[in-house]
Amino acid sequence: MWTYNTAIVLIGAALLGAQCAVVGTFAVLRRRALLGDVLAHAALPGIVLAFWLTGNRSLPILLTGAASTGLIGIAILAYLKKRSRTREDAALGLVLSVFFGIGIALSRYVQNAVPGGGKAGLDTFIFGKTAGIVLADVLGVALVGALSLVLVMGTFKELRMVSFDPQFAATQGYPVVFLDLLMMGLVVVAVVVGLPMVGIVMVAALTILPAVAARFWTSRLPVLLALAATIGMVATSLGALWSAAQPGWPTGPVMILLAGGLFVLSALFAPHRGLITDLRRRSRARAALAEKAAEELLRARQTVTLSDLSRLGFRRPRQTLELLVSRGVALARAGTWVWANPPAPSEDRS
Amino acid sequence: MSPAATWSLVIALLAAGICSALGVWLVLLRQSLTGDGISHSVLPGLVLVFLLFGTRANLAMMLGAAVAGLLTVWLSREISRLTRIREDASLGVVFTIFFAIGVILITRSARQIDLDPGCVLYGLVEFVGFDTIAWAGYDVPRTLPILVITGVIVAAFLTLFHKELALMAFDPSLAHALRRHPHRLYLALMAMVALTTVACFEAVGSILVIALLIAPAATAQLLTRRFAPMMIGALVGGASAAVAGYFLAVRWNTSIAGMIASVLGAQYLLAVILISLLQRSRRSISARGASDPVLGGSV
Repeated sequence: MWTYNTAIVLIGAALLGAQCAVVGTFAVLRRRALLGDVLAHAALPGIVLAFWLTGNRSLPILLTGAASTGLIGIAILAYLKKRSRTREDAALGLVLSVFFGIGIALSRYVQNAVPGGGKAGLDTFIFGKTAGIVLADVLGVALVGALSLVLVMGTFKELRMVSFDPQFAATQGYPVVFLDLLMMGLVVVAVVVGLPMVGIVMVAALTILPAVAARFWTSRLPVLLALAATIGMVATSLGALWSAAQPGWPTGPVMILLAGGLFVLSALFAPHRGLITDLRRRSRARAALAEKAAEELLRARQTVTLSDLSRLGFRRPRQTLELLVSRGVALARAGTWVWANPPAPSEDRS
Repeated sequence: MSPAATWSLVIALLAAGICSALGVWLVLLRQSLTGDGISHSVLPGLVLVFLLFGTRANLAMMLGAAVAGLLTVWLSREISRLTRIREDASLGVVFTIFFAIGVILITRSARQIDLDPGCVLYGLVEFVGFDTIAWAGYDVPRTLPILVITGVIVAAFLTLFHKELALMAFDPSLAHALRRHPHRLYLALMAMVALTTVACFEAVGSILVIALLIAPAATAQLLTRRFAPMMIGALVGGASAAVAGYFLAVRWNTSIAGMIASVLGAQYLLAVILISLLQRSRRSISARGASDPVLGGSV
């Protein structure tokens, strides 16, 4: 199983996972989680156009085409945000569906009009084909990934400012529009590189899932980026290994399921923001509030019954009252609880 | 025009009408991308129904798909409510995982299943006229009854709940205060979106469904700030795009769904240009008004 080819696919997949995760983290923080999905769809007409214009099916040419329509999509998004009444969600949806529609119309046209047009290998890009990775692709991913990383590090402070508080960044004189364009450009590059490997929807997922999963563990941006990259790498490389060992399992979707599994684990078990901690915290807070409320009620009425409390909306009246008894605030007497008249707390006496 | 071609046009028009009307609310509620999420996540629903019951009967498939679509919306809402993840991110998480499950199910059972994911994406308006059933004494495309029934349900929903929808879209806090259950209404609206997506995508493909949901409404929103003109504009825009897209596709021998989406994009582009020209002329008028001798001086 440890063939040369497996190693190549593994490295390529891991690099892709890390790159998508890092640029996706900024997109998610900027509330544009679906940006990757939109730009992956917007890249489609570019692939067909590049094939149609050059008659060439080589990957660099097709991906250049993909990147150029992706960038046009970005320019349109930026223009609409600045100049039109269309909200960002509608603008994203418009770019996604119209570009993809144009891509389909173009591809069918080329298929019918150009002799030997085939489908320009379009289906490969919609669903991806990881096993087809060769060394040149890995080098390409590594190069693009390294360039993106350098760009992210070079503009780290600015990107951070814009992702968390764009209004404040604008008042401080940061070039918000330019930084937005840069961030979206990085997403385009990552998505376009990933298209032939994992396909449109899966590459979009690679920009969303690791970032969202990592967000449960930390609130510090550098840690968040490192963690998201790790999660992305683990999911993509394990996915690549899995489908290398088990032919017949599609690589991209397996990667997404693994990333999804890591998301679910993070959502449940992360120490501070995880669901289980959060639910426990909520129920503790609710119990404390109920105890306080029951104590005040007892002080005012001197005597209460279980049905009094449940009528008032207490979820666990018996436990609450027993807690009061154990603190010596209440006394239990045959189905009713009475105020035990405890000594007032010290600050009240003075 | 041959009967089959006429049916293609009729189906495209019906889908355009239903989607445009529903899309107005999606755009007003800023939930445009929910349509995107739903249309991707119906895939596992379709496949599961097929694998479990071995049927390709319309109703069962539609139910499975609609359940998957609704589950996506509900899950992403719950996740974002429970974990403070923002809604766009939780939607992205849920629908991509659903889509991945769908693709895995298809490829794992490749031998038994005759579902072409490509067909789900592009749709086959071209061929609806060849796949007919007898309905009310006529030979009609298999998708026609589905679309007509969906259209009636959606139209009834939008008419009956117009006031509540408007309240939810324009003043959500008042809707809460009046106990109009905007959360339940939202889910009902999403059920309509899921139903529409499922009913339409066999005919026109999931991507065109997204285009038809968002583009006509967004175009109409550029041109007016009032609800009724926006709804009428979206319907007219969607229908005209369906007709124009159909004939252009025939002329250039290409995909009808893709061409309709392209025309929708062109309409939007025209509206953007029109609006910016109007604004420019209005600005130059007000600039002239600024040096008005009565008002005096410049502003």
